[in-house]
Amino acid sequence: MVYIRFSYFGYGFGFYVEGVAIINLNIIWRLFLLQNLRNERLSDGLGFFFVLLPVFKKLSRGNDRMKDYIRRHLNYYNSNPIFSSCIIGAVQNMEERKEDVKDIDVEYIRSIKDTLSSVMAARGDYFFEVILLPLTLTIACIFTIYGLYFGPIIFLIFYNYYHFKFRVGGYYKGLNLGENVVNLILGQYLRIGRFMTAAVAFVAGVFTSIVFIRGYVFGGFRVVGWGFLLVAGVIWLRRKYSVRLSVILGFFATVLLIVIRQMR
Amino acid sequence: MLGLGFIIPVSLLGGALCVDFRTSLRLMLSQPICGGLLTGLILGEPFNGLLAGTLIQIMFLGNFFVRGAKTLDLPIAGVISAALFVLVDIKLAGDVSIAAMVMIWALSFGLLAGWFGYFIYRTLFFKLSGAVEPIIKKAMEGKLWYLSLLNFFMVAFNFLYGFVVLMVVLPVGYKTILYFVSTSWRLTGSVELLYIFLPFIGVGSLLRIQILKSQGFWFISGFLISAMVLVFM
Repeated sequence: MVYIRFSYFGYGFGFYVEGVAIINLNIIWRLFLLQNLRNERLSDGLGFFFVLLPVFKKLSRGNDRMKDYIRRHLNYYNSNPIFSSCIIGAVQNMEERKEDVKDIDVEYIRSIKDTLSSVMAARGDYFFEVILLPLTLTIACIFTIYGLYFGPIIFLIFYNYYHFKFRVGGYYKGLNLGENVVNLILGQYLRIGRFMTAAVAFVAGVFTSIVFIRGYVFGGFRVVGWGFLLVAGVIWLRRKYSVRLSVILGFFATVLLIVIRQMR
Repeated sequence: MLGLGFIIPVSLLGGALCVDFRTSLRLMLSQPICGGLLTGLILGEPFNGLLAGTLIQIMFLGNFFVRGAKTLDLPIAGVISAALFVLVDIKLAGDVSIAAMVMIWALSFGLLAGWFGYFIYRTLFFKLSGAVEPIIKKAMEGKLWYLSLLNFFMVAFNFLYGFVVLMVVLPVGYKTILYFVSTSWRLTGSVELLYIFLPFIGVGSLLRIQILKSQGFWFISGFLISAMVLVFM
């Protein structure tokens, strides 16, 4: 029989399974607030320190040692907020090893933290913002175009599966593997990322054909022609100016077309 | 008359979604497609809320924000559009003949509130960010509870910002739309009309994603397979 216990263990309350702490709630909820303290001077440095604060409090066991942690970790930090969990787990692992086993020094921890943050920043932003979000949202919108309720639910499940996998799962991977977590996470990322990149292009193709065919069925080549003009206009405006301007001008141009159609 | 019983729950939802959008919670409930559905659920018309939220979402499909660079308040745009569309639709007893007109007004209010709201947010944020410096100093001196205080302050600030914007915009938008739909000139047509024309904007924003250039084969495959299915089935 598996023995699960809710208890206080060093950093805060959490769940023990068979005597091993598996869910540390005091760290987990802080992971979700990492980017909350973003500022121009330290970027997410305040947030990073805030997440690991319970660990530093436990390891310092006194004010003087805490100053050492402040000096080393309350500084500039900039990475993807979701992939950051692996870095936080890895840093916690290394700090604990430094205290217990004493096989690493502070300079090593600093260099690993800097390297991981720059590697994870580019990969994380690309995976979550450029691939996963457009892919899942496009699928959800296709469902809603056909009057199906569950588009947003599919979107939330699909997106948050990867979100939690890397946010919560990534923290524990980092905690278990230390600095070696980068190989595991990037291996996973490469496997999923390659498939997702093709999938987002495929789904964009499906969405484009649905939009143009529905336009043709509704109003023939006139609507399709207008569609081509609008697509070209949005792409040009977005390249020349900004996203919001291209969308807002596109929206009002479409409204104008609908009004003119009615008046004729 | 639009009662507080409608405005307050929707404004609370808007505030909560702003926290999801601006902090790193990132549960993505703040995306307009989810915000619209939630607004509709609160107001008792989930499908109408979803219709409005999805239209905002479709227009911004290929629009992604990379850490911090958020240029438009999408959750506010989604919630306002959905709430105004649902509330006016209820008032007009579901008159589908002018649903497109109501939706156009609701989307216009949503987009403009999201746009101007962003500038207000940015101004307030830069004014408040001066307060971060002394807190960093205090934290470096060892007074670490300031960090927790600042964290909760930021959550409260994001929540209040969304709440206040919705409390202000909803009554104004509602009265304005009711005024325009009561004039003699009316744009007739159902929401389906907008679902034909507005997704072209979404295609334009999606096609700007750089990966489509390197994944042309998959884009064309998706286009052709979908076209064949739609034409022959």
